[in-house]
Amino acid sequence: MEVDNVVPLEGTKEKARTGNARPGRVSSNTFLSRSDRFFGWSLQGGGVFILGLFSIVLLICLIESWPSIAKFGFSFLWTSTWNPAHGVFGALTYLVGTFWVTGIALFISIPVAIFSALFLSDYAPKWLSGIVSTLMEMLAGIPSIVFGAFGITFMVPLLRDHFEPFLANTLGKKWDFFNGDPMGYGILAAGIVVGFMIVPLVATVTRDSLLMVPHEMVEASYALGATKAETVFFVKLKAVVPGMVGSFILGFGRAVGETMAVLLVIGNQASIPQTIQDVGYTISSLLANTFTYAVIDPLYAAAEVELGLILLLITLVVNTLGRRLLMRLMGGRLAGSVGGG
Amino acid sequence: MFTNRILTRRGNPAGFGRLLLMLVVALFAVLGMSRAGWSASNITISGSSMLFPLEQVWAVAYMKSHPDVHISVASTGSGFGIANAANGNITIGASDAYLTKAFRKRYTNLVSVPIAFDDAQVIYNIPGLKKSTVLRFDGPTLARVFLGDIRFWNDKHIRALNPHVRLPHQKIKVIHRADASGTTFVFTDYLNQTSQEWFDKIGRDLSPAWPVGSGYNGSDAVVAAVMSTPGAIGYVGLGWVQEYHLTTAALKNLDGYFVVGSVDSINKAGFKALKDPEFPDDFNRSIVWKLHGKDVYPDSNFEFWMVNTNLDGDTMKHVRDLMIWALSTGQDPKYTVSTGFAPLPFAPLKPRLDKIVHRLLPGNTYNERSPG
Repeated sequence: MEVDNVVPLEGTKEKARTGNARPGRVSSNTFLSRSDRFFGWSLQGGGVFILGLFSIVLLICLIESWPSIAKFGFSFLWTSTWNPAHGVFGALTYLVGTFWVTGIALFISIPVAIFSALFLSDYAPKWLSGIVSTLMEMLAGIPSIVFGAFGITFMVPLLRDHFEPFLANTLGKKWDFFNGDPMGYGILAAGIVVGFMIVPLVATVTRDSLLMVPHEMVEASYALGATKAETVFFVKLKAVVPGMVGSFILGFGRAVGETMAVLLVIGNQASIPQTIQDVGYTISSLLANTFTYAVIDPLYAAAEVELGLILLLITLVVNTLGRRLLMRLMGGRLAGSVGGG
Repeated sequence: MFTNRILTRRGNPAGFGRLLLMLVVALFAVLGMSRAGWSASNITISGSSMLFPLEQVWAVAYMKSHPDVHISVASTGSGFGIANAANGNITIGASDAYLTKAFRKRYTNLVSVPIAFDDAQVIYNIPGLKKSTVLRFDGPTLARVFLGDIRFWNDKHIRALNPHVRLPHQKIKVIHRADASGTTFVFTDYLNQTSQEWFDKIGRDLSPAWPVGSGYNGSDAVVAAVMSTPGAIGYVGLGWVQEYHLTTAALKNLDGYFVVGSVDSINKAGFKALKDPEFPDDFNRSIVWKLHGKDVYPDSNFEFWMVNTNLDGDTMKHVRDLMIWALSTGQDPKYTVSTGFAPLPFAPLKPRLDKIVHRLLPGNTYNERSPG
């Protein structure tokens, strides 16, 4: 009897479906003393708190942004005018800027992260792999403002004086998109800085999943006559695709909401970038720059909160889609470990 | 049972209790301190990030001479200052902008008190130009640059104003503030008053919808961006010009003279405004582009404290004392000039101060006291 009272801490439905308890969970068949039950309830409090916090955040965002939602409706999403003085608000410019920065960041970080993860798991000598892994984990913990400062002092001059003119003179000859005015600040600088920020995140998760690939698989591959490179690429990497996708989603989540580092280097200009050298604006940097001022006008504040709500929904949708994708890829057995979002 | 065992195994259940006790004591200490804080008169000032350094030195000096008053200062942005002074969350809201008509309609219980004097000055970075070369600008030309219509430094409009300067065929990079800023308000005010096109398309605001350029958070970032970007043009307040020894453009004033912003030329503007009998006593009008005179800088304005008329009597008395102190003793250059403001000229301010105080405390007029 007692047992049934305590179990609902976590998905009974899931349990019914999979038919056995999750590994690592204290078996529900153990005898539970009074203190155990109290312990269980207090944990339940933690879960309820998280649920409540999320609902409250969502609810407050909805309430606070209601004037804007009611006034602009869905046109908010594809209007590019943002003029507080005239009371016209549209999110398009900031959405486009956010996606550019996130896109560039993922474009840069994914290959680098996969390569470094492969190196660490399969190619590096043990002592080197240890050092690099530790450094990578430290990199992941560096505050974003430090990356922003690195962007201003190092990336911006480098881009302005060398890389952006180079892009304009090579790719720019063919495609107008690369033929912009070198400024240093802009979506490229922001994308690169955010890309650097998420490399350690993506690489660490990918490396961890590579290390979890069963030895038998690798040995079987060798036994079939595959070379090391073939084994690494076609067996190991293929085996960890779900983990990698999970890590990309984590990286996306970090990139899409990154504020301080972006704000310092993106050039904060509310215009839709026409070339990769252009300046832009992301949702989070706009909020950081102007939210304290926006409170002066209810509609202005509502429009900014609505932008925050959109950001919240984007991460929610991407994480949910990512989880579903992972579930499908792993045939229903979603490992709690790698990049569940 | 379970928890006990773990604790005894770790060996120091007493340590846990001691920790708990310490936490409780610390909690009471914090509570006690805040109670003590409230028993003295507490004034919270919050708002404009531009005024923040000045308010900090003021608070320290004032609390030294008035031990019964506690002042806490925070830099939260002018918008926050105005809105929260109106709803009573803070005692004084610091603002870079006066109460425009729209604000006055929304916040009927606020009185704006001019508290310091600041300006916006145009800085630039033109390759090949000597650092000491002072460019001349008038409002319409500057507006065209910031609208993106003038795109090169050797544009004929700029050359016409600067016939003796060799300007390169270099693209102009417009640099502006990204955060809501009083400097932006003063700067766009000048464009607004002098250029019909700017008035129609953009207007003046602490955070306007900039048509071109790139934005930076804070004046320091603007200075850094202008200094590091060839062809850049931007604007900052007096304090930053002094701190970085920047060369700034001479702006055309109402009488057609080109004047460079300085403590002196701004101070003259303040003097003129306060002496002007048509200038409203509630200070709710811009003085940008309104003042005649040979050496009056055309792009300067007051900084304000917003005071809620519904403050309780005791607090209001303390606020009034602080305000009068700030406008007399507090205008000493050791406070104002050192933090990047021009002192308000006290003599022409005095008769107006009387009226402001009267608006805050009906029936109480301002009595001059020895400063301090």
